[in-house]
Amino acid sequence: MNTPDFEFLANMDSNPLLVFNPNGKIVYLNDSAEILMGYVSRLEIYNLALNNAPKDYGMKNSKMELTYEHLNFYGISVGYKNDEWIAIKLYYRPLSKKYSHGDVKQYILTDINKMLSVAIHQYTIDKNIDIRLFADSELPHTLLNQNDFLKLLRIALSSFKEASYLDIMLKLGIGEHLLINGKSYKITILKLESNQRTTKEDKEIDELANRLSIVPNIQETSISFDIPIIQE
Amino acid sequence: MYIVSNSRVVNSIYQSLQSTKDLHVSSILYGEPFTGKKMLIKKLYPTSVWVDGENLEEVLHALGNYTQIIITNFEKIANIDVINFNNSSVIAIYNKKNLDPRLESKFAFIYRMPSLSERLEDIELFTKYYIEEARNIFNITTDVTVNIEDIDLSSNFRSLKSSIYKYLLLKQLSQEDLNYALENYFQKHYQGTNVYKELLGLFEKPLIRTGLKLYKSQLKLAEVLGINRNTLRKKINEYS
Repeated sequence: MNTPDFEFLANMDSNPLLVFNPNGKIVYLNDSAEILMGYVSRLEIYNLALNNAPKDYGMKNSKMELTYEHLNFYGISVGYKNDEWIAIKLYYRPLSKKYSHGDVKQYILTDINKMLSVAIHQYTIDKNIDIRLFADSELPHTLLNQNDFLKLLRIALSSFKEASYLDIMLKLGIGEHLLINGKSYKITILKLESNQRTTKEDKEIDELANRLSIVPNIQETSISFDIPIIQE
Repeated sequence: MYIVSNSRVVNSIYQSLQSTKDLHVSSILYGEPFTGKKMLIKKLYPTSVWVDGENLEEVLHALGNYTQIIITNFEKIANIDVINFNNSSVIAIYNKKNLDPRLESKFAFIYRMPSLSERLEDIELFTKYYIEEARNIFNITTDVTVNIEDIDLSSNFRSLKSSIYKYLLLKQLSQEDLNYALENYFQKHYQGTNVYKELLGLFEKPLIRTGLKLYKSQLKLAEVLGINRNTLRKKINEYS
């Protein structure tokens, strides 16, 4: 068996992971940590790691409330095996906002990959944009209002109409859940990111997402959606 | 022969609609009239329920009773708020150049059908198609080519087709046909006290115009027509 691609695996984790050298410089960060770096300084996270590091080589878990703008964490793990590096992982707080959805009986069991694929195809009919798609093809199907979901995708994609490229990522949210009607659901994360974005439709995106029990995270150059995986 | 399009955009619309065929999604295809929207949807959904937007009652009944519906003339639905797509698969055909912005939030997918003047590949494709069709109808056995400047695209396929038919028909007219056409025309315009002079232009105008194209010089044309140069000049001034 080949050695697992640990970098790939680290990027699959939606919790931020950073590795620093003794000078406080970042020697590695996963995709999620790249997002985190948009909201907090490298030095602040480095100091957080130093202040919560185990006394000896090994790993230490600490429970603490951390908030960087809209990003909320409930704990961290800090570890090191030698004096060359120190790693810190921050754990996202599961969203506790109470969501409710419409009549699930009206929803249709849906392959989100297919939804994304048709939405991208429709979006690119008369546009010349470089789309880089990273999608987990094994995602579980979920009950959805297909019409509203595709509408949401169309509007979200069109907010990148001025962009020269668009990165799209679709993956399972590891360890993340959404509470809807008091029930916890695993989530699929869809993220659209580019160098520029128009914000005119943001209100509509937010409203549509909420109607679908999807949690939007709308930023200047990116939009991500936490989509609950509802199967019953 | 069943043709759809040679245009990349139209084919992409076709593929996109095809990929949503088994989804519960509402789409709208808009664009100028006679751009082939209906033809495209018919190819994709030959057996679906088709209703006309002009008849709102029929539309509402279809939405309540069928899961896959095509609504034509969607622009004729006055009160859009009463329409609820629920989980139906709906394709609306909207015959206007621009989409009413209020409709944007109603549909998951919005497609714009380009006009024919934006689809050069299709002008060529359909010109050939209609020439062939007209040749069969008029029983023309010789090869026919139509100049692009003789094609009217102002009403997309409708004017393209009619201009080709007209072009081919006129090319085939015999003297007998011309006489027949003129007699029909005369019958409708034989009124007043100056009929001879007024209707003579129907013959003289094309005769002189064609002569000028062929011979360029008025002197030469007068000689060929066998009339006085001054008479010819006078007629040219009269008809110009």
